[in-house]
Amino acid sequence: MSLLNNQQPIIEIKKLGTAFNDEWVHKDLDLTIMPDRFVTIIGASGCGKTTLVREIMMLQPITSGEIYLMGEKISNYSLEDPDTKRVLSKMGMMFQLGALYNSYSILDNVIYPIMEYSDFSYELARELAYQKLRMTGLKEIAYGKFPREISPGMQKRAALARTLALDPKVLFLDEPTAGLDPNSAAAFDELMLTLQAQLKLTIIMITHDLDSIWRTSDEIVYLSNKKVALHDTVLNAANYEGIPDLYNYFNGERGKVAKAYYSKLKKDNN
Amino acid sequence: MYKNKSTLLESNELAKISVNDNVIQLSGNWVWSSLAEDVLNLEIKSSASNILIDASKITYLDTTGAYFIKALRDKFDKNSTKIEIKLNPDEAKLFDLVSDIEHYDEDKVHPNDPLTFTQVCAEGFNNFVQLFANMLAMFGQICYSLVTIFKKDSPVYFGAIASTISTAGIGGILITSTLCFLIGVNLTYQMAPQFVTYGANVYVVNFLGISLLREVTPLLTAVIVAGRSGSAIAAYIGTMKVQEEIDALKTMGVSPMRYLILPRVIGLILSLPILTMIADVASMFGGMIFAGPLLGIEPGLFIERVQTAVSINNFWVGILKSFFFAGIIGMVSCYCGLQVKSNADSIGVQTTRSVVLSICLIIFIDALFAIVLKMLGVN
Repeated sequence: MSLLNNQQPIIEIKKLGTAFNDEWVHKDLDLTIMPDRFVTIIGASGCGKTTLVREIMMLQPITSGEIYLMGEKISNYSLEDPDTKRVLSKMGMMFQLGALYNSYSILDNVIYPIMEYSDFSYELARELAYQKLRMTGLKEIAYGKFPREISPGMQKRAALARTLALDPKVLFLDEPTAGLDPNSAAAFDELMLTLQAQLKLTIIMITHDLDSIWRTSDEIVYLSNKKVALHDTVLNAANYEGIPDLYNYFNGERGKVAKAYYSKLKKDNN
Repeated sequence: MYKNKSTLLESNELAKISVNDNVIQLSGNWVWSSLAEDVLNLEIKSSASNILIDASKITYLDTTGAYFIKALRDKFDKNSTKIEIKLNPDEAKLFDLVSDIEHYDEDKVHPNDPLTFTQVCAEGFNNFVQLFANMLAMFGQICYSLVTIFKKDSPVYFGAIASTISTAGIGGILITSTLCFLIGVNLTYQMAPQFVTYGANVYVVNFLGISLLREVTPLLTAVIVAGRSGSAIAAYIGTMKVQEEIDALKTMGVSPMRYLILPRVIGLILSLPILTMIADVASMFGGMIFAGPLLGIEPGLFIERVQTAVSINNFWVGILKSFFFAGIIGMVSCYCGLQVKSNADSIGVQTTRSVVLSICLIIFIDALFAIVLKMLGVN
């Protein structure tokens, strides 16, 4: 594949199989993701996008195959294994609804993973958490509040700060712009791009938001028929005619406006 | 077991810091896992007017490491010295991200002072008054919709009433009667030695008749129903509230008061007295069984004594109270269910609250009844 160069891949999935009650969600799925990329996983609802991400994050057992993170096989680790914690600190996941701990204030939500992993004092952990929250552009007035007291857009920023608390290498985003108004969604796209460039993150995103895909993503992974049907740059994926569903995804009534605007923009930039 | 343990980190090198005149040399990995907090306690003797922090030999830097460099810079900055930081271009980008962020400021995060004791008390009192007013309003609304039942063309949801009777009433028979039976056994067992001491064995029947029929059984049954059915009602209505089902009902012109709350209150008012009657029998039965071996009172004698020594008023007072208890349980649990806000932990809070509040009110009303009926001379 043209997208791969001689670097070591950050995530490598080999012959992955997942079965729920003898029904295969993934079968012989292969996927290689290189570092510092912004990859978006798309596909029809129920094709196993979230399942795939949950399997990499060790939230769900796999039926067959292997998953490697930076060359280390992680698919055989369990949460009871102390070594797993070290692996998990390299990955961060931002859940669809933020999944902030409701009984902690926003600041304590971000302090929690730092205190859990490091030997730092509470004051230092608080400084670090404060810094992470500021990086996501959240206003100070929200830090002492509880998750239920702030808006969904702010909750997503706080969730992002908590995910970044331990400087993960890989960041998984599950529908980060879902439920946000266009202004907040656009601001969130920009925030992710800035952070990716400055923190050298590999971001793997699941989304249905076409504008967000065009704005942020380098690569598209299209899941279909239990496999990765296509793994290419956004522009190539949008123009690929081999898979009708994928073609309609980018060229349907809703998609063509975004495509026309962004493909011109991308050509101008090159 | 895991051979390639260190592959995930670039290397296991710790963060290193050395001071050479006015140059602070940083090297190694400056990431959260390899940094120790005492790096920040670094003292520098040199009184030089400019200090160079040389971070160009750092192998790997993350935001925590960048914060440490920033903290070192800010520390020496105070002594009116010039600070210069040398970084690789890649790491300079990361450092820029954190270098402008000021330190944690308690006043900005918590701009309002914590409440004083008087403010907390005032708020608590205010909440109590609010709660009382709301309950009164709820009572008024229930009474109002109760009256409109008799209006022409206003539907009564018999199905919902029947389902409440089925779950709260019939479903609760076994547990309430078992527990009340055990309480009857328990009281007899504990009190028997006292009666034997005074040779007043037969008076155990008077004791059981009054204490069980009048006080213990109605109270215990109401508490069990509050815990078992009241919490279920609060959670059910709360879930409907969270999912906006209550609003959906209103848009169809159906009053939630009439469709959800009234059937539950009526169902409880119909089933709790019957439950209490069954529990009365069970608890007296428990007392009767143990009175034989412990006090020598045979079942025949026991039943005869119950008929002569225990006034039927004791039984009626218990039943009368259970009507009120049922009203309280229904009203409080529906009220708490409707108080649920649209966040997830609210259902749990309100469900707990419904049980606590109903039990408090039940015991309060019970005490009120004891005093009022004594004054009226009902024995």
